[in-house]
Amino acid sequence: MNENLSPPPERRALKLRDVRRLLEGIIPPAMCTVSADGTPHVNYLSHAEYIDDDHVALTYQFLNRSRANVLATGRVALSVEDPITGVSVVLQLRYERTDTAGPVFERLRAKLSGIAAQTGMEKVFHLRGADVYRVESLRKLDPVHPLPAMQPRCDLAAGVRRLSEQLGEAPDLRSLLQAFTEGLQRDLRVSHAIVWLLDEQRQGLYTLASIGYEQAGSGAELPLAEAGLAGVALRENVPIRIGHMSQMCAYGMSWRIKAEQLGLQAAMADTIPLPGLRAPRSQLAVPLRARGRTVGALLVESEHDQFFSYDDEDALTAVGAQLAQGLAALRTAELVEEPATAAPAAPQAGGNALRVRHYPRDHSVFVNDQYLIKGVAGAIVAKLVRDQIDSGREAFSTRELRLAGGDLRLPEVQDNLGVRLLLLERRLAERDFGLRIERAGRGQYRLVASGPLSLVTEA
Amino acid sequence: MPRLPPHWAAHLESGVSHRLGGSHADGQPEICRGLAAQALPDGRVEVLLDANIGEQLLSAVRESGRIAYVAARPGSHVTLHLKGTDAEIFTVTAAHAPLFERCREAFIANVAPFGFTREAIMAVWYDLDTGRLAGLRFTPNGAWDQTPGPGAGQAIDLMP
Repeated sequence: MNENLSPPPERRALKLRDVRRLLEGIIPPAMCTVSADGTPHVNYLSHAEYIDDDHVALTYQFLNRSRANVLATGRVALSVEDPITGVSVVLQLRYERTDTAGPVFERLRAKLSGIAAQTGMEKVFHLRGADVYRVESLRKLDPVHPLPAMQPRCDLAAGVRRLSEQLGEAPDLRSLLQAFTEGLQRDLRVSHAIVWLLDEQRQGLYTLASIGYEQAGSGAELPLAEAGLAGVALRENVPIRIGHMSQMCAYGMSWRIKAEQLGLQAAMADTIPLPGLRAPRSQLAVPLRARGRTVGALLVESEHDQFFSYDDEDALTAVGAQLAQGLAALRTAELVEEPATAAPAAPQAGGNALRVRHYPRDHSVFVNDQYLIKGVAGAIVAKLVRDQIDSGREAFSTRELRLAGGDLRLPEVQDNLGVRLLLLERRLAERDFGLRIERAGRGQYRLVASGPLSLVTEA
Repeated sequence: MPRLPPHWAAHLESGVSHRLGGSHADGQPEICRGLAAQALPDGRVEVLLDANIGEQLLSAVRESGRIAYVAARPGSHVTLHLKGTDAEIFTVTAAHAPLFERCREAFIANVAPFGFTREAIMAVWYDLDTGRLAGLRFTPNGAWDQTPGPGAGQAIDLMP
């Protein structure tokens, strides 16, 4: 008899990773603590947080009986339920420590603030600490009749690989963004998404790109404090996800209402309507990080409940980091110019006249009384129009704009020029005024007008 | 025997989500979902649960008699917390069917606005034969209003 035969493979035990999506409070988890004299006490939680296969964190919000019991005996039974399959799991936990700072605390706090805002419980929910527990056992309990598990909407790992390959091939900002938005749809089956970038000076977000909305909203701005899940994800540097938004209200909806109101008068107002679903059922926001800094946030949405999972957090964090790295690398690359080519004079355009108005106080720009954009991008387009009128030249280079940055008093021009030009290009394409920016080579562009240009600088 | 005030007694059958907590003789806590509950005229409270799901909780109750029971209403979050030390297990009979149905129907109506369908609620929790149900009966020796907010944890005066 061969004694070297491997033992039969053991059936893999249930791991916390297998049930982590149950921790999130779609059905609020319930915990039972026990006092030193053995008296049980039941309490509901907003959610629990997966740390690793041996640890979970629970919110410590109140100095109450549960808290006293935890400190006295350290023993907790936690019940979590899956609204999709009906499976429930009871975890036996042992208290280890309370974190009042650090990544576990920040992640729990960010999620709690997201849930609180979505459920109108901001005044009730306040995180004092993240109680960290060791998982001693997991017991799975089957429902009366198991519901069919949802099929994953796609193979996320394979999708990330394909998207990552495409991002790696992108030679410039435009193709990077195109690869990202196309890959989200094709490879990760995400139908609605917004890439927000952070404007540090103005403490706001602006839309670099979006997919799946009637209004693309390139350049649409939002103060960080009003930016909903994207704002929290960015501020706390943690992915935030909500999957059952029927109770939602507060800030998520306020965007849509605002967008709707603006839609009625956006043509004349100096605001770009915000992209976004009117009634999302699921949202996931992932911070975009590069070189130790958060540069923006990716928000994905769905009209279906529980559309995104922990696995989506993993997937979008990975491709989002690659996008952020690409943005950081390529925006510098855009500043390196190819050898200047002869700059031909703009041909006399035969289309309708384009009357450009520029308000220097905030650099808002209107074309034929229709709002175009403001801020850095507005200052750039005003300068380009002025230059073209003065010199008759369509072509311009990033070098010229960098040099003009000081005159325009726009420190950001140095920093983020490539991204701002891309944003301007997209915004002009969306508005379709007969004015567009074309890339003519690395660091070389053309402002192409379909008709004669005029510029009025308002006080 | 102390009794719940009438509006809290009615709360038990108003379509709440039921949770039961217990502890073994060695202090290990247990938790499981309940399916229906009522306050008896003598002040005791009865809770029905799925005996399969509640196997460990029932074992804990047999060992210690200690029970914690929470009834939370979906939507309003109005939450009642009861405790007892004399919990006993009883056999559920056909006489409990009307209670079971009342609680089931009220619960289905309360969670419908949140996207949970009758079919799902039935399949997961309520499509049970009486034989698979277990009953717990206890005398509340403490009651608290555990509705989230500033007044959470306020003791409720039981009626004599």
